[in-house]
Amino acid sequence: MYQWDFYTVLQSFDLFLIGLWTTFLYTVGSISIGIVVGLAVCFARLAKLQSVRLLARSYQELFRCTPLLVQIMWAYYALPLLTGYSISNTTAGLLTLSLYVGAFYSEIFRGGINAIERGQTEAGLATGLSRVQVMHHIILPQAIKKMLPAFINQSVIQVKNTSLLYAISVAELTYMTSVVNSETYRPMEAFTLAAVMYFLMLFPLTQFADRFEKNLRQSD
Amino acid sequence: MSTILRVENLTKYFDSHLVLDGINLEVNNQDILAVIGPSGSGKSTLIRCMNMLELPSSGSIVFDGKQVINAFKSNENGIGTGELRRRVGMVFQHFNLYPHRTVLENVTQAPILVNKESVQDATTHAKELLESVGLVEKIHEFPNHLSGGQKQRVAIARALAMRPNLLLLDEVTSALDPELVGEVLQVIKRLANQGMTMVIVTHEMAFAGDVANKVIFMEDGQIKESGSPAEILVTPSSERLKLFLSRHLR
Ligand SMILES: Nc1ncnc2c1ncn2[C@@H]1O[C@H](COP(=O)(O)OP(=O)(O)OP(=O)(O)O)[C@@H](O)[C@H]1O
Ligand SMILES: [Mg+2]
Repeated sequence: MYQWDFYTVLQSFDLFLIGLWTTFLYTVGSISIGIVVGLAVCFARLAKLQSVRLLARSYQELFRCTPLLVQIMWAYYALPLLTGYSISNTTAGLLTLSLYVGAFYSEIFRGGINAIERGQTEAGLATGLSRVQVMHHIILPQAIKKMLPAFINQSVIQVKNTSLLYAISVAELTYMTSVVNSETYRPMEAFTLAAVMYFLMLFPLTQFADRFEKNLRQSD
Repeated sequence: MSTILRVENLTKYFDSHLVLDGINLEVNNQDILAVIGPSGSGKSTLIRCMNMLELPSSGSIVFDGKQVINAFKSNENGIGTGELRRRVGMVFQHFNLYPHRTVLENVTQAPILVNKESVQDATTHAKELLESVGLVEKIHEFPNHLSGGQKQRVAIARALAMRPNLLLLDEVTSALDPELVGEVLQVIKRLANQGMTMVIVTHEMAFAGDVANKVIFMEDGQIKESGSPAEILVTPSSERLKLFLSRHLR
């Protein structure tokens, strides 16, 4: 029978806190940038110009169809060879996470916007609103509600994806856990604790998404 | 009598499919023009060209003496779609109310955003309009809680809130249960009596005969006959129109 000993790993609790905080920062940072990127790419995909649409499409497919870990390694190790400038692991990590989630967000946003009937746009235009006003006052408020569950799910995945930054030694939760592990030789406790921390962060979010989706279905 | 809207040699293609084929017509102030014709004859496309929701393939729309251009802002070449739509109201078959806005907000939105009316002015006007269509007690409801007839009356109030010079109605009773048609027709009838200029696409022949002063019969993207309600609906000349009417007059 395994003898649990949380005491040893809890002595390094400050390391966990650093990891937790770093994970939080990368999550918030990459999600924020990802939203901006996602909106831009979403509107690019809805653009009149075919070349703009094609460019946006290529970006989406590039980032959706390659593994995030490969993207991270590529940005950190390969990109400097290409450009001649070295890039810090912080920048490489934040950049890749943001672009990756932006590609997924853009499709979620586009789906939400396309789910709003054409008649809504026509009604707005017919009263003299500009296309931008229609988007702002009529389409987006409805679309946001429709896309929120998918948006939250993608964001939950994003929190977990920050753990891949382990590969380029960013001091996020998983990396810090491995530091604790190598100092204490208590992998069972260290990684269990890390898992619990991730779970406690994400469980409320998935619950909220489920509840929200149920309400949405009832109100339709 | 001054002309508010003129359609000149209008054609419309969807891809290679010719849907409007050389339409010419005039709408004078206080006219009520009824557009009738079989399904697929181009009635909706025509009325949607009148506020540029559909872009003409060739020909022109002249509104209030000015050429309509395919740009939002008016300029020296003519009147833009923004100004055109501000002055031309439209009511749709499926209402197209904003489900995330209350009845009142549905009506005040465009006056506030487009005409820069104060919230207070827009609200006062909206309440008057909603009262006139018999819906004051519903102003804080959401559209989902209304019957089809009520929704369509809100949609009419929404269009009127912009104080349009011309109102376009595309089969506004076709999506309604039969028992709700009357309340909407009554509202339109009252607008007619108040002198509102309207283009009405309808399958309600009796109603067309009652409110309209001009009727056009469309088929295959062309105006096949036009004239007074008596000429078109009572003494039709072509066999096609006679056949159409025999199917639609009960
Ligand atoms: N957006 C579109 N794209 C392609 N074809 C279209 C489009 N809208 C209409 N059409 C076609 O144009 C023709 C005329 O359609 P329109 O809706 O104007 O007819 P309508 O007279 O209003 O018919 P209904 O009485 O059924 O409403 C039809 O053949 C229709 O299929
Ligand atoms: Mg139609």
